[in-house]
Amino acid sequence: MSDHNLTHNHEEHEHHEDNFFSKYVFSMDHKMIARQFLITGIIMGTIGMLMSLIFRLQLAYPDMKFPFLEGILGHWGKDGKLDPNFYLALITIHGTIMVFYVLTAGLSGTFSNLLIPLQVGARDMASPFMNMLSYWFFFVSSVVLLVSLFVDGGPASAGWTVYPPLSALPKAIPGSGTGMTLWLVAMVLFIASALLGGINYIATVLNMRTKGMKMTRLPLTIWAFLVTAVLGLLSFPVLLGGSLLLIFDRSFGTSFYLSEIVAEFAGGIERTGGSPILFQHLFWFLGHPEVYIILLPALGITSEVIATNSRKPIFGYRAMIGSILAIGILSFIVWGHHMFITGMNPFLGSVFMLGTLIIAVPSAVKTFNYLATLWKGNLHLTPAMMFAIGLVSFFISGGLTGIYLGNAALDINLHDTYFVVAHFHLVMGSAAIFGMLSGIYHWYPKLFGRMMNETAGHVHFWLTIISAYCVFFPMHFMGLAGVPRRYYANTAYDQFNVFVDMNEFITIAAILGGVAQFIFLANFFISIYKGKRAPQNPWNSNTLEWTAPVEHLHGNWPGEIPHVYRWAYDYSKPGAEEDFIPQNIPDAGQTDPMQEAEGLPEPSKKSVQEPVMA
Amino acid sequence: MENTLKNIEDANYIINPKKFVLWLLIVASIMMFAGFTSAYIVRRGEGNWEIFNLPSLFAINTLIIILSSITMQWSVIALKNNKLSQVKTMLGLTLALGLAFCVGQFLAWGQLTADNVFFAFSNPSNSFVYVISGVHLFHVVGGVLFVLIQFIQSLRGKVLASAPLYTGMCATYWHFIGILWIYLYIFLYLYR
Amino acid sequence: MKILNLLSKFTLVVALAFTFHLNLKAQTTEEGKALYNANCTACHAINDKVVGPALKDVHKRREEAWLIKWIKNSQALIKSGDAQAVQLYKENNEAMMTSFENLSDIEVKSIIAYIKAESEAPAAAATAAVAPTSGGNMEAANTDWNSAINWLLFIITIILVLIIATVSKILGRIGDIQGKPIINWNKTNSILLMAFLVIGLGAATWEFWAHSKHTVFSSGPASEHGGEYDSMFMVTLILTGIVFVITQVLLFWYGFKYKADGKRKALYYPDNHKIELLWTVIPAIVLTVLVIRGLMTWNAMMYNKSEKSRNIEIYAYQFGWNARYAGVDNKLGAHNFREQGKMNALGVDTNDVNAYDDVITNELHLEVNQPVDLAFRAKDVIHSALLPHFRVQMNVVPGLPTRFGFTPTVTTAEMRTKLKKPEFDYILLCNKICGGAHYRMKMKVVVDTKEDYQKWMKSQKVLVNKTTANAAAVALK
Repeated sequence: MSDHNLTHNHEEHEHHEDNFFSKYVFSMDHKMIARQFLITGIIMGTIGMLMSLIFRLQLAYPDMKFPFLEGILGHWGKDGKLDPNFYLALITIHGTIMVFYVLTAGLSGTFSNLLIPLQVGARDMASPFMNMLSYWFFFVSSVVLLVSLFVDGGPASAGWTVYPPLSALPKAIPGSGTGMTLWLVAMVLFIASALLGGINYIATVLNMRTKGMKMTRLPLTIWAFLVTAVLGLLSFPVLLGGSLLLIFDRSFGTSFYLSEIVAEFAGGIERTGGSPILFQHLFWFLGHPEVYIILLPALGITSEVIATNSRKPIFGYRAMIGSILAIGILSFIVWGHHMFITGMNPFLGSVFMLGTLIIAVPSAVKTFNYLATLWKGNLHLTPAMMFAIGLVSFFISGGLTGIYLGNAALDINLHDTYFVVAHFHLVMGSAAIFGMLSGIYHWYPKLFGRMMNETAGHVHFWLTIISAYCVFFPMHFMGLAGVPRRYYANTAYDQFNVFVDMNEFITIAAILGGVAQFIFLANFFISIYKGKRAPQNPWNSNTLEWTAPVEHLHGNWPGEIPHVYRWAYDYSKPGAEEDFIPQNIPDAGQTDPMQEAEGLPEPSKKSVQEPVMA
Repeated sequence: MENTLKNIEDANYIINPKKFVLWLLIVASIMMFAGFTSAYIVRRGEGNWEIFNLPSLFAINTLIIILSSITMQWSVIALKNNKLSQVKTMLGLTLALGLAFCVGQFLAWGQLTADNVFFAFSNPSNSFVYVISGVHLFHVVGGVLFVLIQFIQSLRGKVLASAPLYTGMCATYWHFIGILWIYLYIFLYLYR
Repeated sequence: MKILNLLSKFTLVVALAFTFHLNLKAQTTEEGKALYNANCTACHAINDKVVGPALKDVHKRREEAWLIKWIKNSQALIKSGDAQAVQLYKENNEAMMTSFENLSDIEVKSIIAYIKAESEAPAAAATAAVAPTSGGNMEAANTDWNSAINWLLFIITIILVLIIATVSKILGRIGDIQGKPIINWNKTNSILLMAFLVIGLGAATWEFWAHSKHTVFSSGPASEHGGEYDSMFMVTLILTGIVFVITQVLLFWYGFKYKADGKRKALYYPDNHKIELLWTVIPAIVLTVLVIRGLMTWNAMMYNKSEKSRNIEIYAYQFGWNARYAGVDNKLGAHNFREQGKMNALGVDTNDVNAYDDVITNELHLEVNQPVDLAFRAKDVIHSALLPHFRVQMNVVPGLPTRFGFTPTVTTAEMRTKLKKPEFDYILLCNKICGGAHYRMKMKVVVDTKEDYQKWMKSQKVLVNKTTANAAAVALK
């Protein structure tokens, strides 16, 4: 991966001979594992994106034939027409890949692994072996999912939420056969990976902080990763339980999720007595925290990137931690808002509605705090900063439509329409992807020791944000007209014909966005070999990872781990010479970090000053 | 690697990371059973629920697992007091009791089928008993293996060298599956 | 005597089942076209492959006897190892065709006759007869993408990416040599941010202007609770709209205004509890208003069962809908899922007297200003009944009864005049992924005046006619 030698301590080198396998494949070093997660995530993301382009073509040109489809998809694209069953398979796998493989493992896996030890000041994760295992479970899971694309009957096609009975009865649709079984296997492996990773993150953050790194001095990235890991730890086992019951229903003849299904449809023996809604409860008990498992790391990264590039402390550090915690806790009591129209008790609906709308408060606090951080800042509009600003914009746009959907009454007509598609693609799709890209641009020097090309980064940003808004904003109007999601074509409905042009426009915008990602891919992979060598601290950042040498080494720091004397956000502090003071720099007279009482600067009138003109 | 990881020791941890990891695993597993039992309650609340009788062996198994917890704790205390022979006996007893529990659960399932409570093609209430006790049994099998390793180590006289850490962790896990079973048993008993 | 009684009951039940059978058939006595439209269009079209293959000239490709077997139970035919059947199954990606055991041989023949007639009719007419296809794309319908153009586009894309990459690289190199970057991205970006804000807000406004008229909100609600729903929606729209504009403007404006110019230092301003409290409390208050308002709307929509409501059951299956009217007694007969799919498609309980006057239809007719209570039932997987014009949606879950009550207030005719679209129809569409033909699973909804409704209802057949019903009632007592 790199043509330069890693500089090791001499004593270390004696004990540790790097061969190809231990260095690149079965590495236990958290930085290498982060790279592995990132590159696997990017590959999966590219596959997921290309899938979306295929079904976008179908939606824009339902009557046209694309001969190349037969070349790619074989019998699923016979005569250049996408098969309706395979359309469902594509949206299912697109959703699964994007939600779990890219935005959970690719985002949280990469940056938790890279940043947690480096930013809290630890040599590695609490259990490097489990960490390696976590990646390999993820890798095998990805392979299983991709293999499922090629089985008879096609991959799982019941939507990424795999509601039974559609997913439970092999006869219901072609994709509910082997494809669905493999989907479940992939998901069990994925859950194992997520749990192993999450346990490690929590143990590391809580236990292995360097001297002086109090919880109230942690960068917000770490807080976000910590809460994310806790959410994962609490919610993934429930999905595991739910999936287990689904596997029993599929393969062993139980009927947890099946009721009043005639024998002929259920493979010979009638199934009754279960409840399909039960699965939805179990699924969304994970599913909703999962949304925040995706979003919180992106918000954490944004906090760090915005503060660094505004050259300003993040506004309301404690409020930011509070809102992360509040979002984390509330995310467990709102899962029912995905099920308002399943015939649930209306009173229960009211409770879930209340909880859901309360989440808007901490979200609003975060948004306003970002704005306040930008205010009177000294903005360095690097690609990472641009993507962070893009995230905030998407977070606002997508978050506000959540107020419609969280309202049980309004949800009645909007549920499962394109309005929902627009909502979550903005607030957790685009926003989280932007957070991930922001993180990649920001920490690329740390990941690969080189810089990415800036101009290509900006072109990438502008094309991506324009295409994302062009794709998802118009979808709101389709949703308000009652166009349901997961429709292969809208041609069967006279009322929806007015959206033919819009669908075409969306697809063209999506293709533009897809092309823009290839600029990123080229930039990413070429820069690994040809990028400019990264300086020690390219963004003049305060956090500890920039005190570690550019060349990776096991144990992160050649000598002693730096001690921490301040919070992570001393940017442009009045009186300081530079506009940043790294966390490991003591104040005059400050000696032992353990004895110091307060790490946070008290908000005092003195610190509020007009910007100093240089 | 060892050399660098030795440096982890200079971090100031509150609790041993391995112990902590075990506790987190326990939390994860608690969540899974919380999922099962709440699914059980939700499903039961919807009606069309076949009431079943718990096999008498479940009660005996409960006693066995409580007993094994006591012997496990005994071995930990013996280890603290450096009485290696007691450690060996007690770990051996725990192992035997653990195996007895596993066999007992299998027999209990036999009692269930004899009582016309079947895993498949039946009311979900029946299937739930099997799933809940089965997933718990899976945990116990893991625990038995853990105890087995400790037992072998103690026979080879290594248990002291490998620090009380692992025996302690083993005990923590063993108590967890014991308490979990008691909870599940009471739960199943009350909400048949 | 007891045995005799039992025997007579038994005969009656059998007889009843038989009448059920006949009557269910009698409902579909219209010609092949009606049958075709009711049963086949979910998955088939004459000229195009949809979920199933195109049916054009199917009478030439297959024997009639084979077709009858296939249509009535394709799975059995595949299992029997019939070479044609197995091949067809494989060709269509192993998607199972629904079995139509409730169709008689005569009915299947009439469908085949219809397909034959359609196949022989001129192509244009045939397309028109199939479920409506998009008008706008008619001319594009038969154009194939030339594969040469595909490759050209592909190559152009790659070249474009390479050009951008190279140009970026060169700019970077030149910048390095000169010691300062060629493009001042800080400045460029800040200007682009402003441009994006202005153009973006402009485009969003244009969209509201251009596309609002296509939404179901533009035509107003067609149900009683719809008014409240729409006003709730407008309140939310206005509040979120204000927040949207303010926050987006601030975000991009700050991005423009506070770009680094090398002359300033940022303001060290880490905290201000008063301001933070302010922007915690204000959203909380706004949300409280929305929550209270929302709860009121929600409760009004959910707790609305009235005695006067007309009971209708909506039955969903892969891939279609049926409506079952409760009849004069306004009581729906019980159902038994085990009886589904044989001669009694909906699985109506043959032992329930209340079922005798039930009416099963393929269209949903509602009487204006008459409350209805829709009970939902599914045969196979979860479906969802969305009636966007009435602001009604409810999931249809197998084995779990759900309901939704509402009152339609605008007749189809009135809505047609209002929208100036003479061909407009209300629809009920499936809104939960349920399989290959999910996107065609719909039912026509008609809101009639009282007279029209009664006229229509009279033309429908009840499940069991009066004489048989009376005899049964007596016997069962």
